[in-house]
Amino acid sequence: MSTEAEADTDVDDVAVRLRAGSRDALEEAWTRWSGLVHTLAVRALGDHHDAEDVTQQVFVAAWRGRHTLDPTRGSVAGWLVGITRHKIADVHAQRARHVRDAEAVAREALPTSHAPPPDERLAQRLLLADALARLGEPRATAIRLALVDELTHEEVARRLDLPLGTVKSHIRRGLLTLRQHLEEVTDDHA
Amino acid sequence: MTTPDPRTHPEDELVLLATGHPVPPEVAAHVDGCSPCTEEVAALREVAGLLHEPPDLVEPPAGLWDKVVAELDRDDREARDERDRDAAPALTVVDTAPSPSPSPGRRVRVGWLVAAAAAGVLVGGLGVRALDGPEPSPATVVLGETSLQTLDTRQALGAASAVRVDDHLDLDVETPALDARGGYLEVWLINRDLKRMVSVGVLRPGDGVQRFAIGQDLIDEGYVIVDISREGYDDKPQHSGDSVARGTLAL
Repeated sequence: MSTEAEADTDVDDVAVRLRAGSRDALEEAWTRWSGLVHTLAVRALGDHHDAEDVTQQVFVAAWRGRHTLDPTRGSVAGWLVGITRHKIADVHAQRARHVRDAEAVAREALPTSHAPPPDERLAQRLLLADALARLGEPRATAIRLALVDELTHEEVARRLDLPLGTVKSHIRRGLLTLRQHLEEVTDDHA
Repeated sequence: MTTPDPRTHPEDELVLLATGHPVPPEVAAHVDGCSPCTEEVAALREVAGLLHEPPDLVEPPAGLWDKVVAELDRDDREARDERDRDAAPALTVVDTAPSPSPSPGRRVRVGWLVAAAAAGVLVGGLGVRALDGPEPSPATVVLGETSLQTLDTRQALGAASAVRVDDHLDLDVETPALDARGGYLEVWLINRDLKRMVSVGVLRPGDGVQRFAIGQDLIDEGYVIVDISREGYDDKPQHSGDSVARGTLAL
């Protein structure tokens, strides 16, 4: 996964180009988010082989379903998480079905009966970590220092050589921006 | 408590509250009586809690992207083949002399498959390609059609139709975008009651329209949901549970 901070406009550009049918945009999405997708799959399925299959299927489905990507409705990452959940649910359902008879297959495999979404908080944490990376500086660093490293705002201000009020404002505004990303993952638009 | 003056919202102190840091008593008092501030503290607390421990990323293995590319390239090839075939007449009413596939019975067994493969009579095959044939033939009337979609993203991967050829009822299935991935694809009809299903045959992926003998009695009994499963060569004749595409015939 890319660790360099990118502006939101770059990411939206990936969405627009992906929707328009650019394979390069899909590859950029892979570079950026395959780690996020794969982490979700590994943690939900506990099996690397199944997880690799899901990760592959997510990006194949993303390409085939690129017309369902609405750049105005949320991030590519949130959209990929939605697809990942469906693929993980399919594997869960498939595992459950393997031990049942054919009749049960017909009943359980209907499109409406998906398993509950995997680890909601993990998806949110992954998306937030990704969104933080593209929040821009000094905002991202200020938030990291304050919330991950648990420095006081005064210490953050000293580290960044910024006025305390500016640091506080960066942290609050940054967190409110990140909160919008949180809403995307609970909004299932896959 | 008095209604707080919006100008005095202690905006930048809210993060401190949300992350459990001490705040001046007047800030705490304000937030207690101010619902926008209380809501914001709750929202900030949620975000802060999620950010607190960044999850360790598990990167996919090198080479997995190549598999994605290979699968998409295969899609493209099949789409091209599909376009080439589109030069032929549409499915709705076709003049053709199809060779209905041998009925594989209600349950496909691996033994049967092996025998069929050995005898060179694996199901399917002719379909649209027979349109080029010169001989006059019985009219085929489509009774009902459906697109075949993935269960999750509703990606259309093919189409199926119940067709009447003379006094037979057959199921035409076309799935340009399916892939057996080392196993084989099996076509099922699932009953509307979702309790019963029958196997109608084995599908060769990306091989034009393939025709399976079904019968009016199945339709009458409510077997109208067409399901394509991916099966392994595992000696298990029942549905694998891996439904790759499905659709309900509109009859």
